[in-house]
Amino acid sequence: MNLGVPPNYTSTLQLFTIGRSAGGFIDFYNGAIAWLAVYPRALTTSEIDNTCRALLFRFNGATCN
Amino acid sequence: MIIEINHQPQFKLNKNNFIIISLILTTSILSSCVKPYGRHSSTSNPISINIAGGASLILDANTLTGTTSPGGSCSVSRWNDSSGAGNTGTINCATGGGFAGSGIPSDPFRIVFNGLSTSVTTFLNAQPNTMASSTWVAWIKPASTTFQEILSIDGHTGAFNRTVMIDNATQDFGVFNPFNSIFTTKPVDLGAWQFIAVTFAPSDIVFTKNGIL
Repeated sequence: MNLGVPPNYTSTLQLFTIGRSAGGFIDFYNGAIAWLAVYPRALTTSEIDNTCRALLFRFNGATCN
Repeated sequence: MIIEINHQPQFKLNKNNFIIISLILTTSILSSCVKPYGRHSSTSNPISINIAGGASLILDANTLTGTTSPGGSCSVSRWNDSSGAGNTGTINCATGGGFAGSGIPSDPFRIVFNGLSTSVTTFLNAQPNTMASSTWVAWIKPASTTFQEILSIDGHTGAFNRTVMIDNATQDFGVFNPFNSIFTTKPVDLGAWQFIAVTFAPSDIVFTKNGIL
């Protein structure tokens, strides 16, 4: 679903962080992550679907489109 | 005159071949019973994801080795970047969470986040002026719907940008841009593996769950 336009207003270094706010706030994630990736471009819907399917076999009960 | 009519070798069980057969059977039984523990399994073959353009970061729990550690000390503290970009993750699980799994579909290798202190930091600078467009994708298994941030570059001094979160009020996934939280209508499936993807582009933000817009 489309969620609007993201602003691009800062040049401050921002390091990608998993499981909490990168700024160190307390909103920690509760759960598990088996795989993640960051691509420096907008993937197409088809590419996202293919990425989902590529690792689908690893997880019981998971589905892809 | 002797006519030999049977050339088939006769197998006779004796002490020597009994030992050999016993060793073979024992090895076969053991190898079929022992499950991998904190190591690669036969179901975790390397996967090639053919997406043109490459990734700036790939963290795959199947690359981790070590003792599983949720609830205890952090046995695995580095999560190497499989993309080749060198953005290695540093796992903080000193007070809980950490590497888990046996590499089978009912128990995949994973990093467990305990909702209290577990996190992974990387060297990847994903701020918008560096990555005008970016796509974050992950296989996740949420355990609660308290307000929490799953993937983030927000909160740095002088900036407050992008986050994928769980909204405790709606129990849906949300995406934060610098000005406000935008909650999707994609519900969090507690205790289930799901694939989330968010694309940030100059023109829009797009969120998908399990490949569905």
